Amino acid sequence: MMKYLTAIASAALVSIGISAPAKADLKDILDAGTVRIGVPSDVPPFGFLDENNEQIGLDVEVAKMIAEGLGVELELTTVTSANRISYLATNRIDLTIAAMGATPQRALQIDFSSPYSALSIGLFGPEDSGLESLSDLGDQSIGVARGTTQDIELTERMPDANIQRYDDDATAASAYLSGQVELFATANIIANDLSKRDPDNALAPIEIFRYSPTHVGVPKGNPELLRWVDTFVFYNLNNGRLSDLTEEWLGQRLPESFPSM
Amino acid sequence: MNYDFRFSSLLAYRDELVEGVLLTLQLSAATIVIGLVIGVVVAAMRTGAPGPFKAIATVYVETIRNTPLLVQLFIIFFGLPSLGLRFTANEAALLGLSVNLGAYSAEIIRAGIESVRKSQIEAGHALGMNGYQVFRYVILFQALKSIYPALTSQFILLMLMSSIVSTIGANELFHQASFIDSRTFRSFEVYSAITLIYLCLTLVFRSVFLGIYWSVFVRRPAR
Repeated sequence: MMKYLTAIASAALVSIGISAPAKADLKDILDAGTVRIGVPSDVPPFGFLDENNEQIGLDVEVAKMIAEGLGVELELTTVTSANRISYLATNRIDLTIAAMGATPQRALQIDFSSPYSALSIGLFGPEDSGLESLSDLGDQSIGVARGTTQDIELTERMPDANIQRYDDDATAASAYLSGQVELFATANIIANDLSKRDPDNALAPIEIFRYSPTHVGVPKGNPELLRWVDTFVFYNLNNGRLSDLTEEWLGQRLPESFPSM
Repeated sequence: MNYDFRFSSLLAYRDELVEGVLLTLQLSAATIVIGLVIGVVVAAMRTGAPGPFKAIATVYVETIRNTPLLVQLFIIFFGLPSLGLRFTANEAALLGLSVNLGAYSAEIIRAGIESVRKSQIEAGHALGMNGYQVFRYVILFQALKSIYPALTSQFILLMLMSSIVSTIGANELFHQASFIDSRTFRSFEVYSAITLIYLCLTLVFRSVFLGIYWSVFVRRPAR
């Protein structure tokens, strides 16, 4: 399908024979043969440097898939949370894939694709906890960082649960790892990080409270590029590849009914 | 400055505050009793016991007094479970604070013991007292009397320092205040309220200590 799309786009370019408007819309990227994508380098597990100083992570993988889908070379640029929107708005990059959530304020400056992945927060515990959901919860002690979204969600859903609150996620994780609490309410990436460090005591989700979808950022005024990225996301959600990637990097698959824009 | 004070938002959490005050009181009272006992025993070991006991007491006092309380608490709460010793947050808080207070009060009491004049001890022996009786009736009484103000200051400091055990999740006053703050975001109100509560607690402690001093050391003459 990607090849087909590419072929049509190339054919269109050749037959019409015009190029280089101000913005890098789909045909300009295809024409240049390079897609410039901004990814983070200090936001594990989305984009970070491995021991060989190579950029890796979920967002880097998605960037590679996009370049492959477009049939062009990939040019990675490091972005930070402070400049990832302005780089797009000033046309220094064609796309931003940087664990970015969509907000109405941000959408005034850039466009957002349908979400390609999601962070989640929820209740985690040992794989043999025997708990299927919050309703199975008895008097097990639960560690959580005080005042976080997971603390608020957990307290609202289970006001009578045995909740132990700590100053931050690191202290709550220590309490879980040292056995001071039996369960741990946190973000999926933290649970996944702990599981990777100690695979024998991996954490499994008991209940997910909330998802925070992440979106590809597209410069304004590029309707074809936005439409293509949405199609790319739709296709790869449907065939499970984005869910595989999410499981690999964030520890869990995406939910069956994943929202789209 | 245009801050809109809303102390009424704390009213919904008064149960938590009361619970916090009670736990701070219980924790402080229990720690003072245990810490005082540890202090007396360790001070006696450092002043009059044979070499090995003296060495143990010295290592204990120097280790505890030269390391942060927070580290001691983390070792008890997060470290000891690796050795199979598991305490709840409140137990770990009581243990950590008692061990800490024990070391500090031991040094204060030792200073008191060393301030007792040698002639007093010799007089005790001359009256036919044995070593224990001399320590109990001659040395300890005078020692505690002379260092009483310093010792009670340490106790009050302990009560105020107990706020640190909130980091390991003990539900004392400061922990409850942080909880209320995380729910209401009325930081100024929450923390000024507990400032007032701590101040009241300190005044109560001071009055109690003064009463004890009066009834033990002043009203009754030294035996």
